[in-house]
Amino acid sequence: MKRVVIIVVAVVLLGFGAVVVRAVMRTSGAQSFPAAVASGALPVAPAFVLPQLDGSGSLALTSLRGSVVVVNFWASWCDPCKDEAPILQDFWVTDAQPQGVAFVGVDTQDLSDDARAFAKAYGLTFPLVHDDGDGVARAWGVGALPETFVLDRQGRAVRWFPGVVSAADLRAAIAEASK
Amino acid sequence: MIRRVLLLLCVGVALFPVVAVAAQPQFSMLEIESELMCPTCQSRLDMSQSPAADRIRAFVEAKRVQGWSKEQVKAALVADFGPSVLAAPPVAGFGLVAWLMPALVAIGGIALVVGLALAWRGRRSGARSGTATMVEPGLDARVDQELQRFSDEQR
Repeated sequence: MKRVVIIVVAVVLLGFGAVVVRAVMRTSGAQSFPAAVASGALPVAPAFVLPQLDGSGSLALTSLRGSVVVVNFWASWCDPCKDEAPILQDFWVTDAQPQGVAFVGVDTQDLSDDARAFAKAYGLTFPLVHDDGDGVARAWGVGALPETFVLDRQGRAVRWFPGVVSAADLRAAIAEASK
Repeated sequence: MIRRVLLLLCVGVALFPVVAVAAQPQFSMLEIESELMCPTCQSRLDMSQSPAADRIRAFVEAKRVQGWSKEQVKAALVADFGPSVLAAPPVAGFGLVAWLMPALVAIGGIALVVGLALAWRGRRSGARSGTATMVEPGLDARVDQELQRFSDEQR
C-alpha cells in the first residue's frame, strides 16, 4: 500500500514538474532572442516555414540564406503597423528589391482574412506569410508589434528594431549585415 | 414559363424552413467568449479589451449570425492562431497532461489519505496488542479468581 502511495505521488509530482518546466521554457524563450540580438551576439534566427498570405504555397526562411533578409512582424489590428506599412513598402521598392535584399512580412496573432485586407489596403507587394500558430512569434521573442529583424547572409540576426522602423535605420542595418 | 416560376417558388417555399434554421445562431457570444483566449493578452476573451480580442469578437459574431457552429468557429480560429486560442487545452499531446493532472492529484490524494489511515490504524492495534502482551501470563485468571472470592465474601 505504501509503495502504491509513493508511486502515485511521484507520478503527480512528475506531471506537475513537466507543466512547470514547459511554462518556464515558454516564457524564457520569449525574451532571449531579441536580447541576444541587442547584445550583438549574432544569434542564428529561429527557422520557420509558414504559409504565404496569398495562398501561393509556403516560405522557408532557410531558403533565403545567402541574402540579407529583413523580417518584419505585424498584424492588421496593430495601429503602429499601419504607420509602418507605407515605409516598408517604399523601402522594398526603392532600396531592398534593387539591392537583392529579401523581405518577409510575418503576420502574427491575426485573422488571415483581416491580414489580406490590410495588405491590399496598403498595397504591400513584398512576400507576406501568416504565422498560423503562436510558436514562431514566441521563438523570435516578439512582444509588442511591430518588430523588425535584419539578418545577414548566414541567417544571423544583426539588428532588432522594436516599434516602427525608419528607412534610415533599415539602410544602416542592411549595410552592417552586408559586410 | 409560368410553370417553371411556380415550380421554383414551390421549391423555395419548401426549402425556406431549412435555410432559416441553418442561419439561426447556434450559440451565444457569452458562451463562446468564455471558451476562447485573447492571443495577445493571455486572458480569456470575455475579459479582454485588446484590439486583437475585438477583431476576434467581430469575426465570431459574423460567423455566428451566418449560422456557423461553435466547433466550426473554433476550428477557423485555431487555423489562424493555433490551439492556444482555446481556453481549454486540446485532449491530445501535451494538453492531455493538463486534463489528467486533476484526476491524478485526486487519486494521489485518496491514496495518501487511505495509506495514512491504514498506517494509523495499524499503529493503534499494534499499541493495543502491545498492552495485552505486557500482562503477566495467568494474571487474568488470578484477577477473575480474586473477583469471584470478593463477591462470595460479600454474600
